[in-house]
Amino acid sequence: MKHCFLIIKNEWNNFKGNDPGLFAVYGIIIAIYSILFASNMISNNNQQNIVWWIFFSVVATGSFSGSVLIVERLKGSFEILLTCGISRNTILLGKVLYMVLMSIAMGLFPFVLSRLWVTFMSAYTTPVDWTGPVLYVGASFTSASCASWLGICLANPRLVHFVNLLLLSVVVAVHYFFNLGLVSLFFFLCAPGVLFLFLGMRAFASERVIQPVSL
Amino acid sequence: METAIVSVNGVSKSFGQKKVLDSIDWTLDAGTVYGLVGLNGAGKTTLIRLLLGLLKPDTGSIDVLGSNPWRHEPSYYTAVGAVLEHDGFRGNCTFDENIRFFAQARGLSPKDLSAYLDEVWETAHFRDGTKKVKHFSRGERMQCALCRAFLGWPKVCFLDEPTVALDMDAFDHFCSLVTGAKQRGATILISSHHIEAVEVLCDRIAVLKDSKLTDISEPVKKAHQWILRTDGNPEYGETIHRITGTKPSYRNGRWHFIPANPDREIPALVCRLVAQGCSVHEIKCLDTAFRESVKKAFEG
Repeated sequence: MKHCFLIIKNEWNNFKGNDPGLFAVYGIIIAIYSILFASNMISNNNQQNIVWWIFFSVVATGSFSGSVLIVERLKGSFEILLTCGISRNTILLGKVLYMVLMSIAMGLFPFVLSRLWVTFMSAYTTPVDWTGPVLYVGASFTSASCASWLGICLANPRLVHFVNLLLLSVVVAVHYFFNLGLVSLFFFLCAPGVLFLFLGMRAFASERVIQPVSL
Repeated sequence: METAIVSVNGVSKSFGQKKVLDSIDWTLDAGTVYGLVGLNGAGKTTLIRLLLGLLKPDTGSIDVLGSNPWRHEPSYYTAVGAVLEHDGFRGNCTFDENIRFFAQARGLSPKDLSAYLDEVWETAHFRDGTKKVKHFSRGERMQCALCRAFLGWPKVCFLDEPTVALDMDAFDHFCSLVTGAKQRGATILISSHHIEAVEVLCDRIAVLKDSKLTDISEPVKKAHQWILRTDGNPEYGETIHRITGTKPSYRNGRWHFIPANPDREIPALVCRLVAQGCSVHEIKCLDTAFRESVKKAFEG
């Protein structure tokens, strides 16, 4: 566990050392999504917000999986990390946990901002709908786990984001078709995440983790 | 007494149809520096990756410090240092942040880390606390990688091209690091195209060619070239010339010469140089036949 936090801390240190331009891009994305959520809330269109929350998880998790998994594999810097004295499972868990935590942290901003927009823009206060944010957490976990597996297995790991988008689109389609409840939908989102994490651990213990990949 | 630290037994490795290593047998003893030379694509990096458990041998077995590297035991990695193609540092972090991470991963206390840095890297300019690693030069990054590889003085070091981009001072520092680790009983494997590094540092040398490993240590041992590590003051060159009768050459911070009678001339030379105020950092016998041996091994 200590080493898991060490991995998270290391990733965090690297993230906060990024150039200011990156944070500006994050700011713009957050602002756009918060306005989108707010307008849906005002027009009482919470079903659409669920979809946008799930897609926002792909954007958020994708941006972090890119830096902590995919770029590392493409550059070849995994080799040193794997020989640093921390077990492979701990390294992977630390990275997935970091992606999920950062995704949740990033999701908090549009959540709070959208509430503020609603308060300023409408005369009445709508009750907080937790469906979107809860599904966002589940989708973030699934996206991060999927990235941890496919980021290693795919010859071109940059395709992970498209696979994630496809996967979550299927989940959303199933949700609309079968009209799943919040709890079922949450578990429907998280179950593949657990499977992907298991597959990711297997892939991480194999040679594939350092195999040269095509850009 | 020499003790086997690394045993490679009948190891083969292929990538697709290409056989990179074929039935490699090699034993590395404690307190010895090994050189691994070979042409590009000969399989040097593959062999190091196998020793680090990053690749799995197709056939054969590897034993390093009594464990199989492919089992990926964290305790194995805390006893092994490595320099690989990518330095593995976080570009957006400072050197201190990076080295603290690796020290904690190895279970080193902050006190041990600062003792190591102060002892070995006190004057290193890359220790500037605010500069991010992504702004370091290639040579600086290599020095950082060396700093991490020798962190906590591991029992075994696998160094893949450790002299790339090092300037003369950094190379000298690298030599002193290897010597220091060797004195502590470490086994060091240096894979390099930099023949001089291998020539200067290694006790035993092997060549990888056509997927096979050939130990050329025996011809190396027959050699008689000497090197003296000091500054390039021409007066020292004249002294060497006067005592040994051969004209020395000064390259990369070292005088190279071939004494006719080393047993008599070397002690006399050292006494004379010290009397002249020369700081003799190192004096050792090299092989005149080294390059020829490597060439012969390449030619088969």
